[in-house]
Amino acid sequence: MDTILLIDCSDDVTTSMAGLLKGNHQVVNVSFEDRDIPGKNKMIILQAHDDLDAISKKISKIRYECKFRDIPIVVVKQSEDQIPLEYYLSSGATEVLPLDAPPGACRQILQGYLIPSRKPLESETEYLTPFIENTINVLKATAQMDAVFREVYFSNDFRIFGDISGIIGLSGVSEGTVAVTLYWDLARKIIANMMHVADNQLNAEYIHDGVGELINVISGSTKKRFKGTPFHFDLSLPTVVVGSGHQLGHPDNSSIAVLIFDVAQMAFVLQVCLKPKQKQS
Amino acid sequence: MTEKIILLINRDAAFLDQTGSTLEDAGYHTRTASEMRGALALLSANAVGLIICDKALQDVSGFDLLNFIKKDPLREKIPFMFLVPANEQGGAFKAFELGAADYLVYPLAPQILVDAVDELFATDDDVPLPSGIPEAHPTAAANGQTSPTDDPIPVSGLIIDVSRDGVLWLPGNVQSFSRQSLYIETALFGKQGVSLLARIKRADGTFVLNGYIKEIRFEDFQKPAIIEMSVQEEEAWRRIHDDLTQKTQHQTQEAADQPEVEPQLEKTIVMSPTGIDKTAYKTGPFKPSKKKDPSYDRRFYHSLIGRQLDNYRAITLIGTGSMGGVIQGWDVALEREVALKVISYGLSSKESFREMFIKEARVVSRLNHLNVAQIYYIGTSSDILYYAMEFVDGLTMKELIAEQGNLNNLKGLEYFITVCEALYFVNQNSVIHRDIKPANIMITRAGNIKIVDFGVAVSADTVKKTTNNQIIGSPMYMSPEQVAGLSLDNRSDIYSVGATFYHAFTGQPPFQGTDFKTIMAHHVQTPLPPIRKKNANVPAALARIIEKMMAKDPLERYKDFQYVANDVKALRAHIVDRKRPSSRQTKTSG
Amino acid sequence: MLFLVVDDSMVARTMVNNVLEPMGHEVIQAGNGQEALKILDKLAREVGVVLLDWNMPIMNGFEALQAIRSNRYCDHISILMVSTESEAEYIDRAMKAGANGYLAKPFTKDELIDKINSIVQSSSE
Repeated sequence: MDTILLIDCSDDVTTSMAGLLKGNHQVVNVSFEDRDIPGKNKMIILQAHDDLDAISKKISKIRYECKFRDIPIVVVKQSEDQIPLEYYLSSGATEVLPLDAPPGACRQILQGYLIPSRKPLESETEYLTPFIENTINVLKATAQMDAVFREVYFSNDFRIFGDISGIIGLSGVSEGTVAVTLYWDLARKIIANMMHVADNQLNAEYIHDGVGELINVISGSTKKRFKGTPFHFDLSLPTVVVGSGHQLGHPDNSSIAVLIFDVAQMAFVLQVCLKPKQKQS
Repeated sequence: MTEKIILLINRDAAFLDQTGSTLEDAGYHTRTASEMRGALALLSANAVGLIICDKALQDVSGFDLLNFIKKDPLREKIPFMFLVPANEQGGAFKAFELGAADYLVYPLAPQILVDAVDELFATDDDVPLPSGIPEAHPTAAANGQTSPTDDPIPVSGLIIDVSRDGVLWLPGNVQSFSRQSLYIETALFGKQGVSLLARIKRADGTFVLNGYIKEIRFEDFQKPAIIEMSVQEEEAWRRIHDDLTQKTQHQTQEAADQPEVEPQLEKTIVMSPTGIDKTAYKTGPFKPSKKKDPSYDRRFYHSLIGRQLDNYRAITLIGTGSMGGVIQGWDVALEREVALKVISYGLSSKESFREMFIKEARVVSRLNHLNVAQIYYIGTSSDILYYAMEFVDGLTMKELIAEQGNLNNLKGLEYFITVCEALYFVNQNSVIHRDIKPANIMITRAGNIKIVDFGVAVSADTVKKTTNNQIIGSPMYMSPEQVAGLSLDNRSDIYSVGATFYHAFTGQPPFQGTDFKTIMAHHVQTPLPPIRKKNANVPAALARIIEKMMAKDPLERYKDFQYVANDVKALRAHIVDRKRPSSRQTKTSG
Repeated sequence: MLFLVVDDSMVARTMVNNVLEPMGHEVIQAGNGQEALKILDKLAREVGVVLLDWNMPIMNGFEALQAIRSNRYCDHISILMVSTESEAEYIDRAMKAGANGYLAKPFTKDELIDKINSIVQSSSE
């Protein structure tokens, strides 16, 4: 049975959540300190409290522990809490529900997030496969590391959760954005390997630069695989971004593929949003 | 700047010697080069304040060099004076286009040259140091070590977007600004010297400023940095700068009145994890465009993206309406595109609505007509009420009207006939659409008409009658009996089609008003504004057809759509006939 | 031999540097085409091989390639384009403009060593 983990929730909230989530779910309420590994859970619901800084840190911590998996983190906040949703969303929350929200809406939103993820369409596989293969290839060739593609999920919100990201804009026959996001430890390890130096010889400036180069090489080497197809694109200069929660636009009518890779017992993601200008016939 | 170095570039060594000494005598320091590469080397080694360049150099043309320098963010501001031979002054225009500050014609008298140079230096005192070394450090400036005019003015709550390539934008929190620079806290990392764009949204529009990264300061490599962006002197920036200065003075005054606000501001900036600090939304004088919280319905539709409902993969949200959201989907079993209409939580949580919806949708799903978007499936997966229908790839008539102004042409008549014939078929099958409007008529890429959104309106209407709390539907195209909540037959659809094509042929809906109630009252009480008053080009016969369709009393309208279609067809035949040059004109009476 | 490695990414330059130095070569670095030309102004005679990235700010690798090839003091220099732009027409353009070799990113250390060895060999012939 799927577990829905409630963290720091009051008795009232626990009761109403259990009521809304009737069905085949086991609802468990724990304190933040006693939380289980989030990977086992279908959804995590966290009740916000007055200390904004602490709640933001808690959300980030949970998001980190989820290792980029598609686990919705829902924040339940007080009705009178006027803090913009963006504050919670940028810390890593998936959705924010005030206590006075209509229960019907809450139930539907929670149900929505509990529906299993879809698999990629054939047309999506066609352009995602080259990205997956080249990402693995680039890490092997330049950093001598074996990355394994774990899974993909789709989102219509382009947001990054991680310590550092390399992002590149695509234009031409197809348009979009590609971003690689890593946590600091893995970024350091990959860049050190790329440069043929030891981890501790790197300063952060090299890591910034290296993550930019990494996304540049991944998208550049993938680009040529699309020569002559509706997915071909030109590259702009890579942009490097630190910190998490940044929303990279909210492109209309597009879905963003979040590709999760494992390497050296750590995880990183490649987010791909690619839209051919001309519809395929 | 204490020293003013002039870089002279000319392939003629004698000219360089002669001009160089003229300028040295006038008190300027000079360096000379005969080709582009030498010039670039000198530029990087010296604080050059002016370039005087000939049209033809040893390796490239002077235009190439000018073009090159104007693209280099560190050197583009160095004034560039062009020398053109007397017989080739046409080149001067090109030079100005590329950004030259002035041009001189040679042979030239030494005094003319010196005067021109004096004049340029007199007006231009803020040429940046070419090596990219910051002139004024923000903290140094704050400590009052530079002249007061350069002091960055602190500001809070000013959120802008920054970008390296103009494609990808990230938020930046402006900390302070001066006439030359913006000091922006941002997570976007760059390198010193690279170009940077800043996008500022204001009440009078969105402005994109060009500049480059002059300096990057960060205490922690894992956190956002403060970037000093050197902003190009442009009209837009001048205006924004002056406006900001004014507003900030105002704000400082306010802050002085409420001394406790200030420390609080400081504290939140420190604790904010991503540069979005909550006080920015509350206390700053520059409120970021306050996005309305997306409605719960919208958030519900969003939660479905990337998931699979029964056999349908939800790809992307393509639209939302009062009834529900439409998601582009993929049917896994039949391998085809579908449109998934997800019913809003407000409606789907009503038991009576659910029952009715399913019953009616079943009836509609049996309609099989080329011009009716087919319903494939009705589902209630995990309490979520939705149906899958034919995916129509094209434009709605609403979009088409917006694009073309109106559809008063033969194509529009064709659409009119097709819609009438399709609805005749529908009505014959005892189904009334009840929500005909331009947005529910689609034109596919192949040019075919598809009427969408069947069934839902039927149920919605019934619910409206029972609960009576919310108007669902489209008041601009509602029949008077629909407004009155009476029982409806096919003639209600006839009225709505009339209203829809009234809009299509004139470009304006029949009745306008500021709120739903007013418009609905118009349908019941106000005589229909004559079509030809709104668009005199609409044929009189066509106007009569639509006016008859929109009679207040259903008994005065056409009996069914077949009659409407026949009249429109006759009109079309007449128009086509008249367009044929050989045919004689005949007059028809209504 | 003296190598001039031109790439806007510090990491990419260092990566090449750390392969070349153990092979007994000397390396100087430049961050864009313009910087590279400036270095060649002074050191054209000493430099034996230039490694050029394609996409760089200020002056890209192709422009730099053209500039170097139009300079008679640089005739002896071998140029290796090193780029993620590896579609056939890019390679064609570079070779026609006078590049001596093309190495597509990403490459392994061994691929780089092989390419360097063959360039060094042919330039000393």
